[in-house]
Amino acid sequence: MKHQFFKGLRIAAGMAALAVPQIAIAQDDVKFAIVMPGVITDNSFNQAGYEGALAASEALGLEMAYSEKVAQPDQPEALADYARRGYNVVIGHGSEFSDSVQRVAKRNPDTSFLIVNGSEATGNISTVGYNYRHLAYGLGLIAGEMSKTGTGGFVGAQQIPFSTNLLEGYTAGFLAANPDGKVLSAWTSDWDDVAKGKEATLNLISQGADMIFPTMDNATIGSLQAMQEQGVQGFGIYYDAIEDWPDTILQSAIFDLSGAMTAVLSNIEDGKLPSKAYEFGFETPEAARFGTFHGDVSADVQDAVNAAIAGMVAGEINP
Amino acid sequence: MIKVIEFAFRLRTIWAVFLALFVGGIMIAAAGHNPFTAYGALFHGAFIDYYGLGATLVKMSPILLAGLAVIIPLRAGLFNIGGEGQIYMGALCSTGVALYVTGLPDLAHFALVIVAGCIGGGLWALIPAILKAYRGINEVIVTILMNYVAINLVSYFVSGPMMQEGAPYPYSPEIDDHLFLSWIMPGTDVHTGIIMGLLLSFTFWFILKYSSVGIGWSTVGHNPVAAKYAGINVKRQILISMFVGGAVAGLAGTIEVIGLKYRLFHLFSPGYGYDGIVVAFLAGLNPIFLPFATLFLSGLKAGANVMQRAIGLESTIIEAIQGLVIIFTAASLALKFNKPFWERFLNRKEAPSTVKGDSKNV
Repeated sequence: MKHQFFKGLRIAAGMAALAVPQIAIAQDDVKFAIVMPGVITDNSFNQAGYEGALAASEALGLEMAYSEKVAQPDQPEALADYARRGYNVVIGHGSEFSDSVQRVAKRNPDTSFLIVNGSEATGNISTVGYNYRHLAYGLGLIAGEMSKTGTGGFVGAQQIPFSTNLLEGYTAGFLAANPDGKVLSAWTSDWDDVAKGKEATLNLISQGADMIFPTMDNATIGSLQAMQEQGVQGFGIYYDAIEDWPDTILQSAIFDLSGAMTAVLSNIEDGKLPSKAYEFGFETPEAARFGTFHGDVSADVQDAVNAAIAGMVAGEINP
Repeated sequence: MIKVIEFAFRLRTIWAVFLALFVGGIMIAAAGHNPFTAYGALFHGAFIDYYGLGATLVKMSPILLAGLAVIIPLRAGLFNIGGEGQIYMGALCSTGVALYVTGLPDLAHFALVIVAGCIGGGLWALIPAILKAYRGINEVIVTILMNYVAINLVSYFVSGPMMQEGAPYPYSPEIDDHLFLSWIMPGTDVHTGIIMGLLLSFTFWFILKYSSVGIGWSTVGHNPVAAKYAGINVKRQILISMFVGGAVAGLAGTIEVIGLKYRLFHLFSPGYGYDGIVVAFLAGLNPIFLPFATLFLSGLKAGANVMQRAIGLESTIIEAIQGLVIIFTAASLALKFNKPFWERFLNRKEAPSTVKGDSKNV
């Protein structure tokens, strides 16, 4: 009985709260929230998500809220709370939100949900992702051309589709440039632990890898430290990492969530996001592109990479 | 008067919590927010809002059981820091039975899942107990280290043999819906696990206080040598108390799976086992106070998340406040009530005219 009392109270309060702004602002009152697994200052996935959401909110004039460092067990509560607070679109930042979003979406049919790197777009759930294979293929090509030992290295956190797609693309690119070479992989099972990232990378380097592609979140910093100490080069992810690591980074796969989120959220109509699997790749450079080449990458290699990118956009190369 | 001071002293953990919140308030103010608005959001979100209370109770279920898993072995003098690992092993065993044992009647299957979870947690706790009883190896270190083994075992199983095909994140397939615990607060995720926790708290309060088993454990805990002379098999009591504690923690893991998540997730427990240690001490190691201590800590945790969403407070400050509560509580427990000092203090105040020579006799 008690809960019905509370429910009634909530409905009454909700109607009172809704009545005013609907008259005043009408259509423009669209809000979205993003729930992130890590901190927004990790220089990686979470920071990209936060900055992307911020850029989208500014570009489209939407109100935005965020929660950072939400542990797996707290996901459903965070998502459901935003839905109840009247946010039109609630974003789960990362594939680890897939199950929670599916459960919460069922109970909140009027809210649109968006999963970054999600795999299934149904009902009121959309996904946004990248063609990770294509961007990693481009980096793999550079690695294969530049490697002196013929051994490439890949560091991932967990064997989830995001990481395995990157690894497969990177390996395919590496072997396309150097058919006799090989790519070693290491898994840290931790996205944020800098020490583990460093250890895994040192391990790969000691096995002869001289072109490393680290793909974790905060832990990527550890990898880059190890590469810098050992004088080994490699690749950045999410942003043009050469700004911070001028000696180490040859090229970066930029997953620009500002462009991607703005593009996705511009589809909001009447406060709802049409359910779709939104995907971005080289053909949408505002959302996915390469950064700056390091001076060590010769013009020939750059030309070969640019040709491969054009081939992937045209659909001639399918790694 | 001495009684009043002693009573106030007994409540020292509560004063410690207030002190921690005060220091936390300074940090919130330093971060540019109003501490009163922030704490208002916290307590409203944790205890007054219907859905917020739901979130609090959802967290309370496993922490309550994890608290019992600390209290029970501690009666026999064993410090079980391994609740976290026992939660993981309980969840692993129960999920295994839930997914791979088929063809049983629904009720029997349900019972078997619960039993499997308890045995999983119990056996995991039995390993440090055996090492303690027969080799004298420190159970604190063994249980801590075994947590990591259990967490990584679960990670291995759910990203390997038990992983749902095509899952975007390491988790097992969903268990069958006849195993789901029923919801008790419509619209929220609160499930019957909380009732199990409350019943078990009461049961263990009774057992520890009135049964021969409980008194036997207390004797072992207070003085193992005396217990041996009294005819108690100390080694066996160590094993039993740890097994029971581990089994309760295993049940916590089981209800997380069958009550809340319906799958086994990689890293599904954010340290409920360690929270259990905090609430156990907050409750003064008494199972009857445990639900109140747990309600408070769970509310703090759930409310902290609301505080982040409501006023945009950084997660680092929220974590710092939770840490402060734990540090202050732990520090307050280290204080011992110094009865002679307070008696002297009171006497001195009441009889200021007493001549110096008398003070020898006090």
